[in-house]
Amino acid sequence: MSELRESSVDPWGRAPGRSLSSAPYRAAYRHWFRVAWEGIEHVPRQGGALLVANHAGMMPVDGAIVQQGIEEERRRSVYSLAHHGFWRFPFVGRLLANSGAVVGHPDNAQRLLAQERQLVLVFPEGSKGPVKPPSERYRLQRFGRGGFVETALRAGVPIVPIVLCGTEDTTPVLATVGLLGQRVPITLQSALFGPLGAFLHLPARIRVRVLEPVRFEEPSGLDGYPRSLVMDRSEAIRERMQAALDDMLLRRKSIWSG
Amino acid sequence: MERILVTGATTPLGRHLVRRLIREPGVQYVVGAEPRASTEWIEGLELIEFPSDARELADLLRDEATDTILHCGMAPGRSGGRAWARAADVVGTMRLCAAAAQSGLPVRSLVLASDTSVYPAAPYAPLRWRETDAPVPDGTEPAASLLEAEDYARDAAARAPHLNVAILRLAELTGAGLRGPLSDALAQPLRPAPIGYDPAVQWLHADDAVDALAFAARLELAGVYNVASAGVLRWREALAGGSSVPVLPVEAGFAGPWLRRLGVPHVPAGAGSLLRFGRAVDTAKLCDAGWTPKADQRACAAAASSEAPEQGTATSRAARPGR
Repeated sequence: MSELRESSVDPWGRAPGRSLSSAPYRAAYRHWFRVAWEGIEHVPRQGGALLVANHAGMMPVDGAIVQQGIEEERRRSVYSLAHHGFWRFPFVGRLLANSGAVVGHPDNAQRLLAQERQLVLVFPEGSKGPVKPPSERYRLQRFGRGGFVETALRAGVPIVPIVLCGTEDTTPVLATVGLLGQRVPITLQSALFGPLGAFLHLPARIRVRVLEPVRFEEPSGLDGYPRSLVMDRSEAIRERMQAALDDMLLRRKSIWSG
Repeated sequence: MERILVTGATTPLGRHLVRRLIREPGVQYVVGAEPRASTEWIEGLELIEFPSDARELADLLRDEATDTILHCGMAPGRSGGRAWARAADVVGTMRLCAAAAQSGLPVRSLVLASDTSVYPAAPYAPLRWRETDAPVPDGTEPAASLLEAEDYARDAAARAPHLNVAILRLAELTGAGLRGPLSDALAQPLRPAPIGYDPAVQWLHADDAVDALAFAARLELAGVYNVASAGVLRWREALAGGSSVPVLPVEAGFAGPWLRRLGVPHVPAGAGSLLRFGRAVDTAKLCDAGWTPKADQRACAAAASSEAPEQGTATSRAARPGR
């Protein structure tokens, strides 16, 4: 019994048979969202890499989709950096950790990337992505202060930009309202079915494109990097991702069949 | 490390350390300094009263030709009750550091026994705290006092280039009668398993603690080092092999001693945030310097659960005269 407990989770709290990769979740990935990848070969087979993706939709599914896809196609596990606020609540933190989420602390990112040579997924838009107003549909929000670039520079790993198209149509935002000082998006489903509707996702087809990795010549392991360098690189990556997203939207024939 | 001054020599950790030091080859003389003259007697140890000002202290260090100071007066690890580091100990640290930093003294090494509770047990904590992660004083004891004491030690290091100042942040101590909030939780007949959380916990076995302190003094280390026994344990792993019950992760507060006496499972004082968010440190820095812990976390958990907490605070007062 104690042996079983010992091996049930890794030091990050991740369960080897992730709770999210259970059968119903895999079914949703294949048959509901019918996820289609292009450029998956850009995800390295070994060594650390920082995966950077766009983040959108109420109760976003993008993190789980990227994790599931890379685990299936590349046979590599993906850790995602999440806001520490989730860990404050009972069960929530454990559940997130079981499925591969890690507290978004710079030291955790370095430990995963530089020491354990893992794939780490981060959403530089942070919470600004999911709560953006409908007018910003498929427009990438500000990439914070470019901290993700500094993380990759310090760890000496490439950045792999990943663009998801269709995620914003699974929970179409009608409007955003101010509630308790927070901006809360009202999705079609929550307008129809109340707050629990936010958990319902429409079967929009999700396409994922992995862009050419960004490698840096700068030395790794420095204490600090010039802010201008960090911001320039961050902005360049954001522009490439926005261009790819625009291209994917242009090629898309239908929201439902992609 | 030939002539040693140990402060807090009659604290549980201090006693354990002194017994180890007097067996250490090459050690000629160990003197223990206490806030007030103590009636306690440890074989091979001379006990003196802690001088009340820095100049007197410097004279003492010169007269005794002290080359090493092991400052355990701030170290936690009570034998019962709540005898945390307090303002008096901080002022004592200030005096000690000021004295040791004076020029022309034979002191080469100052080791401060601090505590990992300078790192908050909080949801935003990294997997393992490193020494470079700036601890955030959350205004609670003992973290605030410990950080203040660490500042004085760093000050002394900055002012006296000849002095090597090592700050050892010790994980919760166990074994040899030492206890902390986690041990208090684990030593209950029915151990509390907080609902919805499974934090990472870490102990430092008393033998490893004195080993690390002696190691730092012998090598005249400088800088901040985390110290813990080998590995990290999840709370549910620590509970394995005994009976436990799910509880709400709320500290028992003033009801704690009564619940303990009645054998009711509860979260003891100081363990509330530990049993939700946990605390674990990275000991790579000290291990890279050549130290290896002998105990692992399972052994520590066994030691923590086997030693029942002593009753009340009376014993701790008796064990720490003049405090």
